[in-house]
Amino acid sequence: MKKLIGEASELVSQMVEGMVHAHPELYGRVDGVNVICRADGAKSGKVGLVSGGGSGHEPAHAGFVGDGMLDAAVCGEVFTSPTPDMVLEGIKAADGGNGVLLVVKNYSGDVMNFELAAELAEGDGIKVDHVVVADDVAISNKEDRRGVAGTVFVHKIAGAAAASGKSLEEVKSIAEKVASHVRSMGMAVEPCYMPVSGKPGFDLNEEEMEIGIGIHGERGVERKPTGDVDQIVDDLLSHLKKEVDPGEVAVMVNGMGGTPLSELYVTYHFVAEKLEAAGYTLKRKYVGNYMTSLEMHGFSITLLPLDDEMTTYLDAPSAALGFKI
Amino acid sequence: MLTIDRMKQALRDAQVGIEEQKDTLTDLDRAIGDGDHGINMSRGFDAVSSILDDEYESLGALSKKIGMTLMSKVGGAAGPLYGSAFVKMATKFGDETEADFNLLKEALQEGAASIKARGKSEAGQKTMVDVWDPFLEHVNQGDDYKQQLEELVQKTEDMVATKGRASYFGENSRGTIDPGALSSSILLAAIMKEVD
Repeated sequence: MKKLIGEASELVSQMVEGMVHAHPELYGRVDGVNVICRADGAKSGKVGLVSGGGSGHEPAHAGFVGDGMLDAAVCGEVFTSPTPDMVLEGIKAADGGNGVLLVVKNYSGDVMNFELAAELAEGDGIKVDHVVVADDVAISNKEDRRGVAGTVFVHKIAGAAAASGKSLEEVKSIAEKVASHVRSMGMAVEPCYMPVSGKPGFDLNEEEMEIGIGIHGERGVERKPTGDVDQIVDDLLSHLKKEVDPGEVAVMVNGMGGTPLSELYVTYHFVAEKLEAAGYTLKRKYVGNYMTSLEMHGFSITLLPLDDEMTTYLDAPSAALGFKI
Repeated sequence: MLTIDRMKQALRDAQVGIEEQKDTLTDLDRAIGDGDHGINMSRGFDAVSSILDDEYESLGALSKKIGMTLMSKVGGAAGPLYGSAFVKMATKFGDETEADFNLLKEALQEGAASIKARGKSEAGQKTMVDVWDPFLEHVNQGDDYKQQLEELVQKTEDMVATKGRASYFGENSRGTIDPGALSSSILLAAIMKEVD
């Protein structure tokens, strides 16, 4: 597989270096660590919001750092959870004296490393709490569900709540409200290729696709002959509709990194048509690359049932490059 | 007797073993995980080998340093699991400069307990616990440790994963050896070799 990279082992630090150099007004970097923080440092008195995970999901998570969203993003190796000492640096960079909330995607590595970091930070006298996002309906057992694109809604809404001056408890409570209601499911027609090994995450025949993929190049829960996007959307929505009742929703059609925007809008066209026919009101719509998986060709659909509070925070200003409002 | 020098030798051997199996570990993880276990373990054990030339006052101090290094260099789930196992072993070794079979076994049992607590996992879920737990339950001094460990690794092939990323594949996780079980067997075999 061809990649536009230098030394694979330097990929993440060179990416971080590049981001900070390109957007100095927005980003700072914690010295010597792959942690992106706000250029102007932690905001005094505001609850800090930190997320992160493996790299390879760009614009997640560094693309969501900015006024109104995250204060720091911890960038692990590609698809590998960052280590506790790195997360601790992110917490310190985001701490404005009123506590820090960690937004963690539900993977055993991420949960363990962020929990360890929270323990270390509390030893340093920083108040830390965390919320775990597990929005992937492809996994039937709710406890084991992965955190995928729905995490971006948690960043946005919790970020706006923090920016409006809410306390750590209040920010956590709204973050949990989003996390407990948001649902996603993804698919791929082509895998992504690991930068170090050069190998695809899974081997797929020309006529096959994976339904229910995660965001780390892992196989889906079901392999099927490739169909029209119309049918694929039906398939994914049939799972989502079981868990999100008709009503006002925010919908996100998220590209996995290697999907042309034209295809994402075609996908969205079918998603909108089918949801509206089923009685859903698409109050807010997002189409684009938010939570990717390197160059994987595929998409995910996310639904978030909205109330007034969530809608207000969703619409609040954000300076983050990946979710600018 | 496991001395500080022999513990260092064990970690050097483990690094060589991980390096030899790096591609296998990654391929197994590609089949039922996310394909980075060999890469992460290799990065972590390289970092460990660079701290082995330092002087340590006790087995506890050495184990703690190994644990902290793995925790900060491996990443993923394996980092905190292996890392916390060594940190916990360090508390059992304390100021001792050598350990007999029984002390080592007790320390490793503490390590296994820490892996289970941190990973919220039990035996039978197709994880590294399926090597640590039964091995430490049945092993006696002078056994063929390597043979026992290899058998336990093989047994994970027919298991269905209910923990970790392999659990996303459900029944499809059957038929592949658990990569964490394989890396655990490499590490434990290297340590056990140094106690006799």
